[in-house]
Amino acid sequence: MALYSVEGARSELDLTALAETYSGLLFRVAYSVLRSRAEAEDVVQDVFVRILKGSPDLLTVRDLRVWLIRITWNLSIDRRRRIRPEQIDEDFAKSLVATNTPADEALGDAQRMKAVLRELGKLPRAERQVLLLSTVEELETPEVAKVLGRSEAAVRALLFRARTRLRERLDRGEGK
Amino acid sequence: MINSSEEAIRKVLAGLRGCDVPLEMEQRILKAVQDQASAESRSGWHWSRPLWLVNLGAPTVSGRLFFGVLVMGVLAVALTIPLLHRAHRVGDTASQFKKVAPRQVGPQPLATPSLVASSATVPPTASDFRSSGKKRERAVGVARHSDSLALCELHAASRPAPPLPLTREEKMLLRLIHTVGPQELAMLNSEVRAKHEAEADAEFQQFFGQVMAKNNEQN
Repeated sequence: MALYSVEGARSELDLTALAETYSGLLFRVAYSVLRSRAEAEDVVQDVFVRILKGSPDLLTVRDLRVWLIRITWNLSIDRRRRIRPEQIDEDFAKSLVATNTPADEALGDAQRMKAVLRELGKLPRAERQVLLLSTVEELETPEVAKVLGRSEAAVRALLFRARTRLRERLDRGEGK
Repeated sequence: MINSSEEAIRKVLAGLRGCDVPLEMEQRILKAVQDQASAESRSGWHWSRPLWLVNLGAPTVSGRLFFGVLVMGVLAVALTIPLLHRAHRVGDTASQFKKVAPRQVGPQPLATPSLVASSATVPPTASDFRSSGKKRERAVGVARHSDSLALCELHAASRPAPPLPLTREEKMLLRLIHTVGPQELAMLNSEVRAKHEAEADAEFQQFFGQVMAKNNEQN
């Protein structure tokens, strides 16, 4: 692939290198919010277009990785508001069910997955953010803390609370 | 089969974590970015022009005809407006001249310092222009205002010319005044000089006339 760089003041920014380095990470961040490969790819593309437009400012960014994750996160949240997440979540839940399970069991599993995703969406914002970002493989707790602008201890506490709250709500829902 | 909520949560989170990056996503992203960059580098107005203007450029007969008529109309309007504006301005200037004319009748007094000062502080035609109609002035705008200013300046009283430097003769005269006495200065006057010469002749004649008369008597 030809080395692609933006002309003028943006020439210092090598977009090819940026894409090679960060596109996978940004895709997973977007996917954790959107749960759709196509939508997540669109968001990553949008991030790079924004980099192209605002790259002179990007040169002054102190922590590029964290900045990119934040941009991706915000764009993903914004996109999720515009799409129909229920349909996407249903498809995602179905994709998680093992293919060799009987149809009735598969239906039950898919319902449980959907319930998890639904309750996940109802969690408090900070807890939901921590839980979703913790699913991104490349992100360790210190980096999640940086992205969210919190301490590592706060991130760990939020993660624990999120899982507990989610489990409790699901158990309560199953008990009803 | 999923038996507990914890297992369901773990499975969902694992599903989110285990997502693979689509093949050749980087290339697609870079291509999209490159397209965006090339689109930006092209003439910017193509992207900002309205849809109706884009449609005008469509290669259809009716579209071209409409576009041609539109261009001709715009040109006609663009040519007509300056002509109308100029004609209106000429009419206004003539009426202003008529109002100002009575002030110019008769010989103008020479520009004395007091007159010059008064004409410099209050232009004689300013009130005329103001009273000639504030509505019209507002309508015609800046161009008309500059016309009235030019007219004011045209009819303003002349200012005295600045003093010229002294000629060579004037400088010599000044030097003479400051170096010689009053008698020599008086001799510069031709009448005084003639009278003085006549007196000197009379004294000469009187003295030498008596001597010559005595010599004649002795002989």
